[in-house]
Amino acid sequence: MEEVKVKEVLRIEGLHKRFGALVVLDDVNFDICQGEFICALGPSGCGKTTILRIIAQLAHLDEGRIFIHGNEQITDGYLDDLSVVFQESRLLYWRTVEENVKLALELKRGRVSDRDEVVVSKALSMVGLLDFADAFPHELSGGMKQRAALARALVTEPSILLMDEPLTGLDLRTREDLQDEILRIWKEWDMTAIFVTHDPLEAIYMADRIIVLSDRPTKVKEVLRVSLNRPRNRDDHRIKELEKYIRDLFGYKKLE
Amino acid sequence: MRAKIFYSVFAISAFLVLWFVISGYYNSPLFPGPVETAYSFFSILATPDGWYQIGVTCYRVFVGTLLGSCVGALCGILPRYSKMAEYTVRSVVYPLFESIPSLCWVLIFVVWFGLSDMTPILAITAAVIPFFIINLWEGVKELDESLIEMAHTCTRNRLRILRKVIMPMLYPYAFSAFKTSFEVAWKVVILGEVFGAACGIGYMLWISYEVYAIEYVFAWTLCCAIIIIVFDYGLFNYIDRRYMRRWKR
Repeated sequence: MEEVKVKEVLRIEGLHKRFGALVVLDDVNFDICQGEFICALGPSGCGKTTILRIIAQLAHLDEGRIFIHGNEQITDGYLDDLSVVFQESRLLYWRTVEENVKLALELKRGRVSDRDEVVVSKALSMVGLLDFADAFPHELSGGMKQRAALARALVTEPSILLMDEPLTGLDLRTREDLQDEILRIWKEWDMTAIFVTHDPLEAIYMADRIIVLSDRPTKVKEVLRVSLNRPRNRDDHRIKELEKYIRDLFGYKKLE
Repeated sequence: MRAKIFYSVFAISAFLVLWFVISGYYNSPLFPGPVETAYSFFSILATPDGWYQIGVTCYRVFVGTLLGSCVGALCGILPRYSKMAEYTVRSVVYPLFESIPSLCWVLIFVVWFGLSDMTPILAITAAVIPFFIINLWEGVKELDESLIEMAHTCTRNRLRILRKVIMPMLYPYAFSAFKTSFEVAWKVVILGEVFGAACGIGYMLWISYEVYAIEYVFAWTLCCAIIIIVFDYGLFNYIDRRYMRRWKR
Protein backbone atom coordinates (compact mmCIF):
# COMPACT_ATOMS: atom_id res chain seq x y z
CA MET A 1 0.00 0.00 0.00
CA GLU A 2 1.60 3.23 -1.05
CA GLU A 3 1.40 6.08 1.31
CA VAL A 4 2.49 9.67 1.16
CA LYS A 5 5.13 10.27 3.82
CA VAL A 6 3.58 12.72 6.29
CA LYS A 7 4.93 14.11 9.51
CA GLU A 8 4.11 12.02 12.51
CA VAL A 9 2.68 14.03 15.41
CA LEU A 10 1.94 11.39 17.99
CA ARG A 11 2.98 7.79 18.31
CA ILE A 12 1.76 5.46 21.00
CA GLU A 13 3.67 2.28 21.68
CA GLY A 14 2.72 -0.61 23.90
CA LEU A 15 0.36 1.29 26.18
CA HIS A 16 -0.67 -0.64 29.28
CA LYS A 17 -2.92 0.63 32.02
CA ARG A 18 -4.32 -1.15 35.04
CA PHE A 19 -6.63 0.01 37.77
CA GLY A 20 -5.81 -2.43 40.53
CA ALA A 21 -6.42 -5.90 39.12
CA LEU A 22 -8.47 -4.53 36.26
CA VAL A 23 -6.52 -4.37 33.01
CA VAL A 24 -7.92 -1.47 31.01
CA LEU A 25 -5.38 -1.06 28.23
CA ASP A 26 -3.44 -4.02 26.96
CA ASP A 27 -0.74 -3.15 24.48
CA VAL A 28 -2.33 -0.32 22.51
CA ASN A 29 -0.31 0.96 19.55
CA PHE A 30 -1.10 3.59 16.95
CA ASP A 31 0.27 6.74 15.42
CA ILE A 32 -1.20 9.98 14.20
CA CYS A 33 0.05 12.22 11.44
CA GLN A 34 0.07 15.96 11.06
CA GLY A 35 -3.34 17.32 10.15
CA GLU A 36 -5.11 14.01 10.50
CA PHE A 37 -8.57 13.51 11.94
CA ILE A 38 -8.49 10.32 14.02
CA CYS A 39 -11.48 8.73 15.68
CA ALA A 40 -11.02 6.26 18.49
CA LEU A 41 -14.07 4.03 18.33
CA GLY A 42 -14.99 1.42 20.88
CA PRO A 43 -17.79 0.14 23.06
CA SER A 44 -18.73 2.12 26.18
CA GLY A 45 -16.59 1.23 29.14
CA CYS A 46 -13.59 0.28 27.06
CA GLY A 47 -10.45 2.26 27.65
CA LYS A 48 -10.85 4.87 24.94
CA THR A 49 -11.26 7.76 27.35
CA THR A 50 -8.31 6.46 29.33
CA ILE A 51 -6.10 6.64 26.24
CA LEU A 52 -7.13 10.25 25.76
CA ARG A 53 -6.54 11.03 29.43
CA ILE A 54 -3.06 9.55 29.22
CA ILE A 55 -2.25 11.67 26.18
CA ALA A 56 -3.56 14.76 28.03
CA GLN A 57 -1.41 13.87 31.05
CA LEU A 58 -4.43 13.42 33.30
CA ALA A 59 -3.57 9.78 33.94
CA HIS A 60 -0.28 7.93 34.19
CA LEU A 61 0.56 5.02 31.98
CA ASP A 62 1.83 1.83 33.58
CA GLU A 63 3.86 0.74 30.59
CA GLY A 64 4.45 2.06 27.14
CA ARG A 65 5.81 5.11 25.44
CA ILE A 66 4.34 8.23 23.94
CA PHE A 67 6.27 10.10 21.27
CA ILE A 68 5.25 13.62 20.45
CA HIS A 69 6.75 15.02 17.26
CA GLY A 70 9.12 12.05 17.40
CA ASN A 71 10.34 13.08 20.83
CA GLU A 72 9.73 10.88 23.84
CA GLN A 73 10.61 13.48 26.41
CA ILE A 74 7.41 15.25 27.39
CA THR A 75 8.34 18.83 28.12
CA ASP A 76 6.55 21.60 29.93
CA GLY A 77 5.46 23.14 26.67
CA TYR A 78 3.60 19.94 25.87
CA LEU A 79 0.28 21.16 27.22
CA ASP A 80 0.50 24.44 25.26
CA ASP A 81 0.25 22.44 22.09
CA LEU A 82 -2.81 20.54 23.09
CA SER A 83 -6.40 21.24 24.11
CA VAL A 84 -9.10 18.98 25.44
CA VAL A 85 -12.86 19.08 24.98
CA PHE A 86 -14.64 16.84 27.45
CA GLN A 87 -17.96 15.06 27.29
CA GLU A 88 -19.37 17.60 29.73
CA SER A 89 -18.73 21.24 28.91
CA ARG A 90 -16.94 21.91 32.24
CA LEU A 91 -17.54 25.64 32.13
CA LEU A 92 -16.96 27.69 35.27
CA TYR A 93 -20.48 28.61 36.34
CA TRP A 94 -19.52 31.99 37.82
CA ARG A 95 -17.93 33.21 34.60
CA THR A 96 -19.62 34.37 31.42
CA VAL A 97 -18.95 32.56 28.15
CA GLU A 98 -16.34 35.12 27.22
CA GLU A 99 -14.63 34.88 30.61
CA ASN A 100 -14.66 31.10 30.34
CA VAL A 101 -12.89 31.24 27.02
CA LYS A 102 -10.40 33.71 28.44
CA LEU A 103 -9.70 31.31 31.31
CA ALA A 104 -7.69 29.01 29.05
CA LEU A 105 -5.36 31.91 28.25
CA GLU A 106 -5.14 32.98 31.89
CA LEU A 107 -4.21 29.45 32.92
CA LYS A 108 -1.69 28.94 30.15
CA ARG A 109 0.05 32.29 30.37
CA GLY A 110 -0.89 33.59 33.79
CA ARG A 111 -1.85 36.94 32.35
CA VAL A 112 -4.00 38.22 29.53
CA SER A 113 -3.35 41.38 27.56
CA ASP A 114 -5.74 43.60 25.64
CA ARG A 115 -4.63 41.95 22.44
CA ASP A 116 -6.11 38.71 23.69
CA GLU A 117 -9.60 40.21 23.52
CA VAL A 118 -9.29 39.86 19.77
CA VAL A 119 -8.21 36.23 20.07
CA VAL A 120 -11.14 35.50 22.38
CA SER A 121 -13.60 37.15 19.99
CA LYS A 122 -12.14 35.19 17.13
CA ALA A 123 -12.61 31.89 18.98
CA LEU A 124 -16.17 32.87 19.90
CA SER A 125 -17.09 33.82 16.37
CA MET A 126 -15.49 30.59 15.15
CA VAL A 127 -18.09 28.60 17.09
CA GLY A 128 -20.88 31.11 16.47
CA LEU A 129 -21.24 32.29 20.06
CA LEU A 130 -20.28 35.94 19.65
CA ASP A 131 -23.82 37.05 20.53
CA PHE A 132 -23.71 35.02 23.73
CA ALA A 133 -20.36 36.30 25.02
CA ASP A 134 -21.97 37.76 28.15
CA ALA A 135 -24.29 34.84 28.89
CA PHE A 136 -23.68 32.54 31.83
CA PRO A 137 -23.34 28.78 31.24
CA HIS A 138 -26.67 27.97 32.92
CA GLU A 139 -28.39 30.17 30.36
CA LEU A 140 -27.10 28.08 27.44
CA SER A 141 -28.45 24.94 25.79
CA GLY A 142 -26.36 21.75 25.78
CA GLY A 143 -25.12 22.36 22.26
CA MET A 144 -24.15 25.94 23.02
CA LYS A 145 -22.27 24.85 26.14
CA GLN A 146 -20.22 22.48 24.01
CA ARG A 147 -19.62 25.30 21.54
CA ALA A 148 -18.29 27.41 24.40
CA ALA A 149 -16.07 24.54 25.56
CA LEU A 150 -14.82 24.21 21.99
CA ALA A 151 -14.03 27.94 21.88
CA ARG A 152 -12.11 27.61 25.14
CA ALA A 153 -10.09 24.77 23.61
CA LEU A 154 -9.43 26.73 20.41
CA VAL A 155 -8.46 30.05 21.95
CA THR A 156 -4.94 28.87 22.74
CA GLU A 157 -4.48 27.83 19.11
CA PRO A 158 -3.44 24.25 19.82
CA SER A 159 -1.95 22.02 17.16
CA ILE A 160 -3.58 18.93 18.68
CA LEU A 161 -7.23 18.88 19.69
CA LEU A 162 -8.42 16.01 21.89
CA MET A 163 -12.17 15.44 22.09
CA ASP A 164 -13.71 12.94 24.46
CA GLU A 165 -17.22 12.13 23.19
CA PRO A 166 -18.01 15.84 23.05
CA LEU A 167 -21.34 15.32 21.28
CA THR A 168 -22.74 12.50 23.37
CA GLY A 169 -26.02 13.51 24.98
CA LEU A 170 -26.94 16.12 22.40
CA ASP A 171 -29.93 15.69 20.12
CA LEU A 172 -29.30 14.46 16.57
CA ARG A 173 -29.76 17.80 14.85
CA THR A 174 -27.30 19.58 17.19
CA ARG A 175 -24.86 16.68 16.89
CA GLU A 176 -24.79 16.87 13.11
CA ASP A 177 -24.41 20.65 13.16
CA LEU A 178 -21.51 20.41 15.56
CA GLN A 179 -19.89 17.57 13.63
CA ASP A 180 -19.81 19.81 10.57
CA GLU A 181 -18.62 22.76 12.62
CA ILE A 182 -15.77 20.77 14.17
CA LEU A 183 -14.71 19.51 10.74
CA ARG A 184 -14.79 23.03 9.31
CA ILE A 185 -12.64 24.41 12.13
CA TRP A 186 -10.26 21.45 11.96
CA LYS A 187 -9.73 22.07 8.26
CA GLU A 188 -9.46 25.85 8.57
CA TRP A 189 -6.97 25.75 11.45
CA ASP A 190 -4.99 22.81 10.14
CA MET A 191 -5.09 20.94 13.43
CA THR A 192 -4.54 17.32 14.30
CA ALA A 193 -7.66 15.95 15.92
CA ILE A 194 -8.33 12.91 18.09
CA PHE A 195 -12.01 12.30 18.56
CA VAL A 196 -13.29 9.61 20.91
CA THR A 197 -16.74 8.20 20.19
CA HIS A 198 -18.83 5.06 20.49
CA ASP A 199 -20.96 5.87 17.46
CA PRO A 200 -19.65 4.19 14.24
CA LEU A 201 -21.59 6.56 11.99
CA GLU A 202 -20.06 9.57 13.68
CA ALA A 203 -16.59 8.07 13.35
CA ILE A 204 -17.05 7.25 9.67
CA TYR A 205 -18.46 10.68 8.89
CA MET A 206 -15.61 12.51 10.60
CA ALA A 207 -12.42 10.49 10.52
CA ASP A 208 -9.52 10.06 8.16
CA ARG A 209 -8.71 6.91 10.04
CA ILE A 210 -10.70 5.05 12.66
CA ILE A 211 -8.89 3.22 15.40
CA VAL A 212 -11.31 0.47 16.32
CA LEU A 213 -10.79 -0.65 19.89
CA SER A 214 -11.90 -3.91 21.41
CA ASP A 215 -13.77 -4.40 24.65
CA ARG A 216 -11.78 -4.55 27.92
CA PRO A 217 -8.90 -5.27 28.11
CA THR A 218 -8.64 -2.83 25.26
CA LYS A 219 -6.47 -3.57 22.24
CA VAL A 220 -6.49 -2.03 18.80
CA LYS A 221 -8.77 -4.30 16.81
CA GLU A 222 -8.24 -2.67 13.49
CA VAL A 223 -7.22 0.64 11.97
CA LEU A 224 -9.65 1.61 9.22
CA ARG A 225 -8.86 4.22 6.64
CA VAL A 226 -11.95 6.11 5.48
CA SER A 227 -11.11 7.22 1.99
CA LEU A 228 -14.29 9.12 1.21
CA ASN A 229 -13.89 12.63 -0.15
CA ARG A 230 -14.83 15.58 1.99
CA PRO A 231 -17.34 17.07 2.44
CA ARG A 232 -19.02 13.75 2.94
CA ASN A 233 -22.61 12.96 2.30
CA ARG A 234 -24.39 11.40 5.26
CA ASP A 235 -26.59 9.38 2.90
CA ASP A 236 -23.63 7.91 1.00
CA HIS A 237 -24.18 4.16 0.74
CA ARG A 238 -20.47 3.57 1.41
CA ILE A 239 -20.92 5.05 4.88
CA LYS A 240 -23.69 2.51 5.52
CA GLU A 241 -21.47 -0.29 4.24
CA LEU A 242 -18.61 0.76 6.49
CA GLU A 243 -20.98 0.95 9.43
CA LYS A 244 -22.16 -2.59 8.75
CA TYR A 245 -18.54 -3.71 8.48
CA ILE A 246 -17.70 -2.15 11.85
CA ARG A 247 -20.80 -3.58 13.51
CA ASP A 248 -19.81 -7.00 12.19
CA LEU A 249 -16.36 -6.55 13.73
CA PHE A 250 -18.00 -6.50 17.13
CA GLY A 251 -20.30 -9.42 16.35
CA TYR A 252 -23.79 -8.81 17.57
CA LYS A 253 -22.56 -6.90 20.51
CA LYS A 254 -24.14 -3.51 20.51
CA LEU A 255 -21.77 -0.60 20.60
CA GLU A 256 -23.80 1.67 22.81
CA MET B 1 -44.59 45.55 50.41
CA ARG B 2 -46.64 48.23 52.10
CA ALA B 3 -48.29 45.65 54.36
CA LYS B 4 -44.87 44.30 55.31
CA ILE B 5 -43.68 47.76 56.35
CA PHE B 6 -46.88 48.31 58.28
CA TYR B 7 -46.46 45.09 60.27
CA SER B 8 -42.81 45.88 61.02
CA VAL B 9 -43.64 49.38 62.21
CA PHE B 10 -46.50 47.99 64.27
CA ALA B 11 -44.28 45.35 65.93
CA ILE B 12 -41.55 47.85 66.74
CA SER B 13 -44.05 50.37 68.16
CA ALA B 14 -45.68 47.66 70.27
CA PHE B 15 -42.28 46.71 71.65
CA LEU B 16 -41.47 50.35 72.51
CA VAL B 17 -44.85 50.89 74.15
CA LEU B 18 -44.48 47.71 76.22
CA TRP B 19 -40.99 48.78 77.28
CA PHE B 20 -42.32 52.26 78.13
CA VAL B 21 -45.22 50.91 80.19
CA ILE B 22 -43.19 48.36 82.16
CA SER B 23 -40.36 50.77 82.94
CA GLY B 24 -42.97 53.41 83.89
CA TYR B 25 -44.62 50.92 86.22
CA TYR B 26 -41.36 50.15 88.06
CA ASN B 27 -40.17 53.73 87.75
CA SER B 28 -36.66 52.80 88.90
CA PRO B 29 -33.25 54.03 87.69
CA LEU B 30 -32.35 50.33 87.35
CA PHE B 31 -34.86 49.96 84.52
CA PRO B 32 -34.64 52.98 82.22
CA GLY B 33 -37.38 53.39 79.65
CA PRO B 34 -37.04 54.03 75.92
CA VAL B 35 -36.96 57.81 76.41
CA GLU B 36 -34.06 57.80 78.90
CA THR B 37 -32.22 55.23 76.76
CA ALA B 38 -32.69 57.26 73.60
CA TYR B 39 -31.55 60.40 75.44
CA SER B 40 -28.35 58.66 76.61
CA PHE B 41 -27.85 57.13 73.19
CA PHE B 42 -27.93 60.49 71.44
CA SER B 43 -25.75 62.06 74.09
CA ILE B 44 -23.14 59.39 73.27
CA LEU B 45 -23.40 60.15 69.58
CA ALA B 46 -23.15 63.89 70.30
CA THR B 47 -19.61 63.62 71.63
CA PRO B 48 -16.47 62.80 69.63
CA ASP B 49 -15.47 60.45 72.43
CA GLY B 50 -18.60 58.34 71.85
CA TRP B 51 -17.68 57.91 68.19
CA TYR B 52 -14.12 57.13 69.18
CA GLN B 53 -15.26 54.25 71.43
CA ILE B 54 -17.48 52.88 68.66
CA GLY B 55 -14.62 53.24 66.16
CA VAL B 56 -12.14 51.42 68.39
CA THR B 57 -14.51 48.48 68.80
CA CYS B 58 -15.25 48.30 65.08
CA TYR B 59 -11.53 48.35 64.37
CA ARG B 60 -10.95 45.40 66.72
CA VAL B 61 -13.81 43.42 65.22
CA PHE B 62 -12.43 44.08 61.75
CA VAL B 63 -8.81 43.15 62.51
CA GLY B 64 -9.75 40.16 64.66
CA THR B 65 -12.09 38.73 62.02
CA LEU B 66 -9.54 39.32 59.28
CA LEU B 67 -6.79 37.55 61.23
CA GLY B 68 -9.14 34.70 62.03
CA SER B 69 -10.20 34.42 58.39
CA CYS B 70 -6.58 34.10 57.25
CA VAL B 71 -5.69 31.41 59.77
CA GLY B 72 -9.01 29.62 59.38
CA ALA B 73 -8.95 29.68 55.57
CA LEU B 74 -5.42 28.30 55.57
CA CYS B 75 -6.46 25.50 57.94
CA GLY B 76 -9.49 24.81 55.74
CA ILE B 77 -7.64 24.64 52.41
CA LEU B 78 -4.24 23.16 53.30
CA PRO B 79 -5.68 19.71 54.12
CA ARG B 80 -6.50 19.40 50.42
CA TYR B 81 -2.80 19.44 49.67
CA SER B 82 -1.25 17.60 52.58
CA LYS B 83 -2.31 14.67 54.75
CA MET B 84 -0.08 16.00 57.52
CA ALA B 85 -1.95 19.30 57.48
CA GLU B 86 -5.26 17.48 57.44
CA TYR B 87 -4.51 15.51 60.58
CA THR B 88 -2.98 18.48 62.36
CA VAL B 89 -6.09 20.55 61.71
CA ARG B 90 -8.49 17.71 62.41
CA SER B 91 -6.97 16.54 65.67
CA VAL B 92 -5.39 19.67 67.12
CA VAL B 93 -6.28 23.02 65.60
CA TYR B 94 -10.00 22.59 65.10
CA PRO B 95 -10.80 20.94 68.46
CA LEU B 96 -8.64 23.50 70.25
CA PHE B 97 -10.42 26.56 68.91
CA GLU B 98 -13.81 24.89 68.81
CA SER B 99 -13.86 23.77 72.43
CA ILE B 100 -12.24 26.60 74.41
CA PRO B 101 -14.79 29.22 75.61
CA SER B 102 -14.08 32.80 74.57
CA LEU B 103 -13.92 33.93 78.19
CA CYS B 104 -10.95 31.61 78.78
CA TRP B 105 -9.12 33.12 75.82
CA VAL B 106 -9.85 36.61 77.14
CA LEU B 107 -8.47 35.80 80.59
CA ILE B 108 -5.36 34.16 79.13
CA PHE B 109 -4.72 37.10 76.82
CA VAL B 110 -5.22 39.62 79.64
CA VAL B 111 -2.47 37.84 81.53
CA TRP B 112 -0.21 37.93 78.50
CA PHE B 113 -1.01 41.27 76.89
CA GLY B 114 -2.67 43.26 79.67
CA LEU B 115 -5.29 45.85 78.83
CA SER B 116 -4.52 46.41 75.16
CA ASP B 117 -5.94 46.04 71.68
CA MET B 118 -4.33 42.62 71.46
CA THR B 119 -6.64 41.03 74.02
CA PRO B 120 -10.00 41.59 72.28
CA ILE B 121 -8.49 41.17 68.82
CA LEU B 122 -6.92 37.80 69.53
CA ALA B 123 -9.99 36.66 71.43
CA ILE B 124 -12.03 37.35 68.29
CA THR B 125 -9.47 35.59 66.13
CA ALA B 126 -9.62 32.50 68.33
CA ALA B 127 -13.41 32.55 68.32
CA VAL B 128 -13.92 32.87 64.55
CA ILE B 129 -11.23 30.43 63.37
CA PRO B 130 -13.45 27.33 63.69
CA PHE B 131 -16.19 28.94 61.59
CA PHE B 132 -13.77 29.50 58.74
CA ILE B 133 -12.29 26.03 59.07
CA ILE B 134 -15.65 24.28 59.02
CA ASN B 135 -17.08 26.35 56.16
CA LEU B 136 -14.02 25.97 53.97
CA TRP B 137 -13.80 22.28 54.71
CA GLU B 138 -17.32 22.00 53.45
CA GLY B 139 -16.34 24.04 50.39
CA VAL B 140 -13.26 21.93 49.69
CA LYS B 141 -15.38 18.79 49.97
CA GLU B 142 -17.86 20.19 47.45
CA LEU B 143 -15.22 21.30 44.94
CA ASP B 144 -16.13 20.31 41.41
CA GLU B 145 -13.13 18.14 40.54
CA SER B 146 -14.09 18.01 36.86
CA LEU B 147 -13.41 21.75 36.57
CA ILE B 148 -10.04 21.34 38.28
CA GLU B 149 -9.17 18.50 35.93
CA MET B 150 -10.09 20.70 32.99
CA ALA B 151 -7.72 23.36 34.34
CA HIS B 152 -4.97 20.75 34.57
CA THR B 153 -5.14 20.27 30.81
CA CYS B 154 -4.25 23.95 30.41
CA THR B 155 -1.37 24.35 32.84
CA ARG B 156 0.87 22.62 35.29
CA ASN B 157 0.98 25.68 37.49
CA ARG B 158 -0.95 24.64 40.61
CA LEU B 159 -0.96 28.14 42.06
CA ARG B 160 -2.75 29.46 38.98
CA ILE B 161 -5.33 26.71 39.23
CA LEU B 162 -5.80 27.55 42.91
CA ARG B 163 -6.30 31.24 42.14
CA LYS B 164 -8.44 30.98 39.03
CA VAL B 165 -10.51 27.87 39.63
CA ILE B 166 -10.37 26.56 43.19
CA MET B 167 -10.58 29.78 45.19
CA PRO B 168 -13.53 31.19 43.26
CA MET B 169 -15.39 27.96 43.98
CA LEU B 170 -14.79 28.61 47.68
CA TYR B 171 -15.98 32.24 47.73
CA PRO B 172 -19.57 31.43 48.74
CA TYR B 173 -18.29 29.36 51.65
CA ALA B 174 -15.88 32.09 52.75
CA PHE B 175 -18.69 34.61 52.51
CA SER B 176 -21.01 32.66 54.76
CA ALA B 177 -18.10 32.15 57.18
CA PHE B 178 -17.61 35.93 57.25
CA LYS B 179 -21.29 36.46 57.97
CA THR B 180 -21.37 34.08 60.94
CA SER B 181 -17.98 35.22 62.19
CA PHE B 182 -19.03 38.84 62.21
CA GLU B 183 -21.92 38.14 64.55
CA VAL B 184 -19.73 36.04 66.82
CA ALA B 185 -16.98 38.66 66.76
CA TRP B 186 -19.40 41.29 68.07
CA LYS B 187 -20.29 39.13 71.01
CA VAL B 188 -16.68 38.30 71.78
CA VAL B 189 -15.36 41.84 71.42
CA ILE B 190 -17.65 43.10 74.17
CA LEU B 191 -16.49 40.33 76.45
CA GLY B 192 -12.87 41.05 75.60
CA GLU B 193 -13.28 44.75 76.22
CA VAL B 194 -15.04 44.30 79.55
CA PHE B 195 -12.11 42.34 80.91
CA GLY B 196 -9.17 43.24 78.76
CA ALA B 197 -9.30 46.76 77.36
CA ALA B 198 -9.21 50.37 78.46
CA CYS B 199 -11.51 51.71 75.77
CA GLY B 200 -14.22 50.58 73.37
CA ILE B 201 -17.92 49.84 73.70
CA GLY B 202 -17.37 46.91 76.08
CA TYR B 203 -15.22 49.04 78.35
CA MET B 204 -17.84 51.81 78.38
CA LEU B 205 -20.51 49.26 79.23
CA TRP B 206 -18.41 48.10 82.14
CA ILE B 207 -17.79 51.66 83.37
CA SER B 208 -21.49 52.54 83.09
CA TYR B 209 -22.34 49.42 85.04
CA GLU B 210 -19.76 50.25 87.73
CA VAL B 211 -21.32 53.68 88.34
CA TYR B 212 -24.87 52.33 88.09
CA ALA B 213 -25.62 54.45 85.03
CA ILE B 214 -28.00 51.80 83.72
CA GLU B 215 -29.45 54.09 81.06
CA TYR B 216 -25.94 54.18 79.57
CA VAL B 217 -25.64 50.41 79.78
CA PHE B 218 -28.85 50.32 77.75
CA ALA B 219 -27.60 52.98 75.36
CA TRP B 220 -24.30 51.21 74.63
CA THR B 221 -26.19 47.95 74.18
CA LEU B 222 -28.39 49.74 71.66
CA CYS B 223 -25.23 50.88 69.85
CA CYS B 224 -24.06 47.28 69.45
CA ALA B 225 -27.44 46.11 68.25
CA ILE B 226 -27.71 48.88 65.67
CA ILE B 227 -24.22 48.24 64.29
CA ILE B 228 -24.88 44.52 63.93
CA ILE B 229 -28.21 45.14 62.23
CA VAL B 230 -26.71 47.70 59.85
CA PHE B 231 -23.89 45.35 58.85
CA ASP B 232 -25.96 42.22 58.62
CA TYR B 233 -29.00 43.57 56.80
CA GLY B 234 -27.20 46.32 54.95
CA LEU B 235 -23.64 45.43 54.04
CA PHE B 236 -23.81 41.65 53.84
CA ASN B 237 -27.14 41.73 52.05
CA TYR B 238 -25.71 44.20 49.57
CA ILE B 239 -22.60 42.11 48.91
CA ASP B 240 -24.77 39.02 48.58
CA ARG B 241 -27.02 40.58 45.99
CA ARG B 242 -24.35 42.52 44.17
CA TYR B 243 -21.50 40.02 43.94
CA MET B 244 -22.57 36.55 45.03
CA ARG B 245 -25.32 36.18 42.43
CA ARG B 246 -22.87 34.73 39.93
CA TRP B 247 -22.20 31.80 42.20
CA LYS B 248 -25.83 30.79 42.47
CA ARG B 249 -26.54 28.24 39.82
